[in-house]
Amino acid sequence: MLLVLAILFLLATPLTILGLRRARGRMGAQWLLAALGALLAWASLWFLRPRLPLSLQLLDWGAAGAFPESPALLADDISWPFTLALATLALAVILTAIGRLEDLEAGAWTGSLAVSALGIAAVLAGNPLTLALAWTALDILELVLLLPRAGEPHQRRSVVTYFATSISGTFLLLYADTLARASGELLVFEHIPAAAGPTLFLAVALRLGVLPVHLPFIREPDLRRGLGTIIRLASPAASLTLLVRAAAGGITFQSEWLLLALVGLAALYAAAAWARVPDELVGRPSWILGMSALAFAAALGNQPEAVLAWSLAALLGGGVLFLSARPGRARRLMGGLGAAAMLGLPFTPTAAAMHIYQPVTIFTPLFLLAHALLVYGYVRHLDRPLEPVETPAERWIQVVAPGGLALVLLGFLAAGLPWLGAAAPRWPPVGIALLAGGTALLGRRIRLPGFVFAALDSAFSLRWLFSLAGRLLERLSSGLDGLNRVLEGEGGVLWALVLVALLISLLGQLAGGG
Amino acid sequence: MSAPLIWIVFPGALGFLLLLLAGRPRLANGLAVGAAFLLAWAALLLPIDQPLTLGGATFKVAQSLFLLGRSLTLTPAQQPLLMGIWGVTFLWLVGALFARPHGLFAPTALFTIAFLTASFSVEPFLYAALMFELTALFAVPLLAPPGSRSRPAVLRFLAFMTIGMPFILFVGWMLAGVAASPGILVLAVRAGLLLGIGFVFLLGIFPFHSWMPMLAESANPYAAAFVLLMLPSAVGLFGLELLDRYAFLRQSEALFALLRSAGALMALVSGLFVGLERHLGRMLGFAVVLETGLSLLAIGLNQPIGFTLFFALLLPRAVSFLVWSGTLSNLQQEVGASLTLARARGLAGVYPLRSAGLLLAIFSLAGLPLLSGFPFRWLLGRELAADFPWAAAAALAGSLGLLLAGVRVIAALVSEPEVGTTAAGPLEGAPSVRISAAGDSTIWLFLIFGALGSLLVGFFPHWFWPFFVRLPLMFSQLGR
Repeated sequence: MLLVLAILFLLATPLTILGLRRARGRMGAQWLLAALGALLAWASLWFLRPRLPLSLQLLDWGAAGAFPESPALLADDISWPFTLALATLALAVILTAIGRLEDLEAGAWTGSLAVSALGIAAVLAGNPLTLALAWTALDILELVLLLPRAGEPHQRRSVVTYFATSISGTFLLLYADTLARASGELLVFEHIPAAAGPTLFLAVALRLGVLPVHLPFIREPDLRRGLGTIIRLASPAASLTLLVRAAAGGITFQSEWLLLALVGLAALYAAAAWARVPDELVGRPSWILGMSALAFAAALGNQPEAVLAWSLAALLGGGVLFLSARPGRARRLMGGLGAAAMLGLPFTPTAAAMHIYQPVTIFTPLFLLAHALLVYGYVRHLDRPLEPVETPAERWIQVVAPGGLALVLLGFLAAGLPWLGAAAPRWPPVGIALLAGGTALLGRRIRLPGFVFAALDSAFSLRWLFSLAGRLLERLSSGLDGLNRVLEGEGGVLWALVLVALLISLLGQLAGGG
Repeated sequence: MSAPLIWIVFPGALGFLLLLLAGRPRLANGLAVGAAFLLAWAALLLPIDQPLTLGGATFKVAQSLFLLGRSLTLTPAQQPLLMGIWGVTFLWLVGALFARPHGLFAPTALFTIAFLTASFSVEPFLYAALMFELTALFAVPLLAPPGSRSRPAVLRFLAFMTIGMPFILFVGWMLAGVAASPGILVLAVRAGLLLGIGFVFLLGIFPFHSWMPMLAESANPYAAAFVLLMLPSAVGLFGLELLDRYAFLRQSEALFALLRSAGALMALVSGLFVGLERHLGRMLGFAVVLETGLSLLAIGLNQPIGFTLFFALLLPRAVSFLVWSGTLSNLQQEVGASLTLARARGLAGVYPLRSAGLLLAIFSLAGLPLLSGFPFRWLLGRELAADFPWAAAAALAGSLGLLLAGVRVIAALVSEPEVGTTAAGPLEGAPSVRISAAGDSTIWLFLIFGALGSLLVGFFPHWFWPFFVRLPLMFSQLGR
């Protein structure tokens, strides 16, 4: 029961808020309820921590003797940090919302809590079946939340494309399950069969946009800061958990160098895009892609702790920046701490992430540069001037809103606690700091022309690929139309009789000419 | 009183009587709904061939009814099937209130189901082919009412049914010889071959599937989907009956290999066709081909779980076809035109509920997790993967094709209507969201039923599985 408590709180709260809205409850009461629900969910996870590992079968599909697996949840050392990250973000979204006028809307809070609940369900998935169910629930909810907010036709196309790639990833997961079964094994998270490993990786890569490299949104639909942050972070969290499990299971690839090169390219492109976009909200998809690519590099090296560290940095390190909208000391302080944590300094949650630089390979400079650009972009966005707030906030708001940001940092620290003292290479943080500093200096003197990035954007948005695929499908469709015209035309019945004659002669021969 | 009298003769006769009420479709539909409910309820509660006391009088519902030297027999083992058939018919007749097909739907549905029930109860059982032909003939007024433009499709449908029927009847005569002298292999092979050809036509196995998309495109989608659901399902059931009766078929590994190959080919080809199709009705037609392919794959497993899956796949199929065709039929009447992707542009803004229903049905049939199609397809895929991974991959590819179709439909529904396509889009000066003539509450009820039904089966397949496990027990050999 403890395992589903957080999910239940996060799902029950939006329903209660909706009821309150119907009863014309005050906005303040609705916010308080949202904060209370998120706080209870967050607190329930702390009760869960000492009892790990804990599993729970949600439904008994096997009761009738047919289904070999049933939906089940599993909280362990891998999934718990992700659940904490999502619950922390949900609570922080509600707490910081009062500092953002545009987020003072109950619809955004209920959406945030619901997305967090489904995200946590996906993170806690105990087997591929549950993961497929939770991924789909999350994808459908995102589609429903994003489509009405996509005003422009190209944005709506992006939302549909994003949904299609995510669902394709889910089907790849199911295909991996089929492959495992074909090889005579079962796909379970404790043991990932070699036959299913690459497909599983591809499923995660497709959902995260790492392979093939693509940004789901060059320009996102007009989402509120809080809801947008949760939507953009919950789905990757659900995929990154599987990546950690895959890395822990140990997967071998035949052409690992090629995958590393592609992942490095993805990381570098995304980091460059993140570093140059005007603000952190526009750059959010690039941030997730860049950090996910680095997590992938760690997964290819079978370093689960590093994957976990990169994942948490993506979610919580990014979360601090995405949720801080009010200018002031709190933003600078919390953001500054977040940026410092991104460097991978010893005794910080990202120290374990530095394992990807060990041993040094031909791809190490690529990842170092991407990492440095991500840190540089982080500091740059933190440093950008924000529009001043016209009316000073009430005193309690001045405490609660920054408290939300501090909570994210504390969550980051708590989730990464088991690895804080672990040995990690010491030189990368220095290199990254130097590279990021150098980029900052160079960035002021040298400006890369915009068309270079425009070209890169069009290349990596995969619009060209979709357009090419569209044209190919059109051709194929025309060919099939021709076949349909023959089969469905005036002579269709005659064609059928000819085909029957052919079939009889063919089957007759196969049956021994009788 | 006999069981065939209750479940075959009564609904058939009522259907013919309701033809007199064709001018008052709501009344006819209401009476048909009541009759279907009673028949489903009777199948659940009324024991066949057991003494029953009612108000002091004792009577027995006999198994058989003799007509013109032939017999119709319904056994107690077939009662779960009867319940399923009349339960589904009841849902379709209720759905007709929303889909608003023409006035002949309710009567035709009743006698169509009566004929199809007769097909698996008639002795000699190969007369089932005749029942399929009669079903096709009696479905003509439903599919091509006066003034409709669906004549070529209906003619094609009739032609294929008529070509398929003699093969089956001829095999009946041959099989008597095979049973009498089982050692004659050549006779058995010839019988199997001719039977296969008969089934190719009756089931619309690729490339003899053309009547399915043609019907779904030109006839009323709801009426067409009803026929496309019921007829191939009944023919599949007839196929199982054949397997059950003839050991030489049941023991032929080559036959099951052929079934798997045909099923995989159908899944692959229909996946390709449906993914690239531009007409929403024709998509439904190709989805029928895909579903038939999956049914063949389930039988091709040649295991008890495969036969159970054959029945299990029918439930999500029935619900999804109901929602898909009902929504399409209603939308076409609102828009006043047959729906292509181009005409469907922007409809989500005008008809959000119907659009959601359409997508729900498509994604459910595509096997999207959470929805009704998923659990049984997933199980079928896993069972196939153990021994025939290529067949599992083909089934998955077919589902991906339907998924692509669903994504294309979303993209069309949410995109801006093209300039000049007012036929499908909101008319000038029309309100941004139009309320249907069918009434908002009917739409809500229809879609809530569809969504809840789909989610219920998707989340709790284990509640339904014991029912499906009972269905193959009607076969003496396959049910073992």
